[in-house]
Amino acid sequence: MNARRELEMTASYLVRGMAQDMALGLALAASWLDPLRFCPTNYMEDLYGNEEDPETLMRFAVNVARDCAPRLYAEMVQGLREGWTFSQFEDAFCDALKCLYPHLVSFQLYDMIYGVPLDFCGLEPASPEFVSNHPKLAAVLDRFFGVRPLLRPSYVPGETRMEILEQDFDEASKIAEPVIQSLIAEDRQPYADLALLLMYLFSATGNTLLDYTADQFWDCGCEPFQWDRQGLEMANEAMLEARIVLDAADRALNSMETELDIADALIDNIAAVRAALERKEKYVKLAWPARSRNRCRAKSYRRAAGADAGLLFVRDCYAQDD
Amino acid sequence: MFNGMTTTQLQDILAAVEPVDLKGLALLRRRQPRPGRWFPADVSPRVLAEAAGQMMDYMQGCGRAMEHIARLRPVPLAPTAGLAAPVEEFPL
Repeated sequence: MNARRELEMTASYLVRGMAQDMALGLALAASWLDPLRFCPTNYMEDLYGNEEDPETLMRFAVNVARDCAPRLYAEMVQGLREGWTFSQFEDAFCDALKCLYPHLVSFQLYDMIYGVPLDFCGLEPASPEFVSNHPKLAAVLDRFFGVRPLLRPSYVPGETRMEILEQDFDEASKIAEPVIQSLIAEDRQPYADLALLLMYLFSATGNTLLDYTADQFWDCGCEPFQWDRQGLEMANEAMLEARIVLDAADRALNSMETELDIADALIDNIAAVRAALERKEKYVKLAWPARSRNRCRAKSYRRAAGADAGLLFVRDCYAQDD
Repeated sequence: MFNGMTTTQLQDILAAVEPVDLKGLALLRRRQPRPGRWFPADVSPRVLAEAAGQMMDYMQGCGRAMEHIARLRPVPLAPTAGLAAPVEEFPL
């Protein structure tokens, strides 16, 4: 047996001896399974100023795993002991977190400094890009609310652009509110989808990802979601809700083309609300075409899909406010 | 609470507490590390995760207990409280 072999065997003998003693064995097990326990550090603060340092990023990620998912933490620690590269570590960590929180936006370790990544889809109808970026939604404002984009001179000399006036949009928002309430009260499809379309269009969903653009979110001083269990769960749920609302809005846009009686009813109801607001009336009666589609049975929108998810989401989040 | 209990009795009670059956410790005792390594390497990810989770819970529990003990208020050694602890005198 050569000297190196003897040295290697010494570690094994030592471990075997330590494991038999209660206190030493406990210390050994703790350093094996939870090594970060012995590195007390504010890993959030460590990251600032070291955003480009792979080692700091990996330490940050392992701490996040320790806080959020012990299983993932054990995998990461084991991988690091086996000599994972930064790239291997990043792939394993990001994939595992995506499995745990499936609605999370894909990310890399270098993005983690900015908080849990969020996909903002908010609308700014009065912005110069709205009409060209969202022609279908601009058409809804035009066709149903009479909010017509105007031809305005562009910032580029000699060019023009279509733009919606802010005061026209604000007026349409006031009309939309009772219409949305009436659609929610129908408690069936396709009215839930239509309600969600209007809520999205008028930034009234209550979901930050849908009601704010990224610029609006950061400009108003909002804090990003932190990399802890609560932050990840909130981001995951917010993304799921956003997906449900956007899918519902898409379905509603299609149904406005195919279910013309509902489109006509929407025009009539908007006219009725406009007239009632002008007369300063407190109540207005709105009517919608009858639909024989069954109401959904009560279950969580988190486990439903398609039109059911849209209706259950409306019922869970908004129906009780009627 | 302290109605006549002596430190010896308290020691006996603590000594009689069964050790926690920690999976990590059992794994360390059962599996041999590879030569030159400190920890067993052939443990399945599922078992390792369970052991790590249990170890973290255990250490958190210990931490909470330590904090709790550190916050305990001292027990007054007054004869009226029924304690017979001798207060020794030391020469100045």
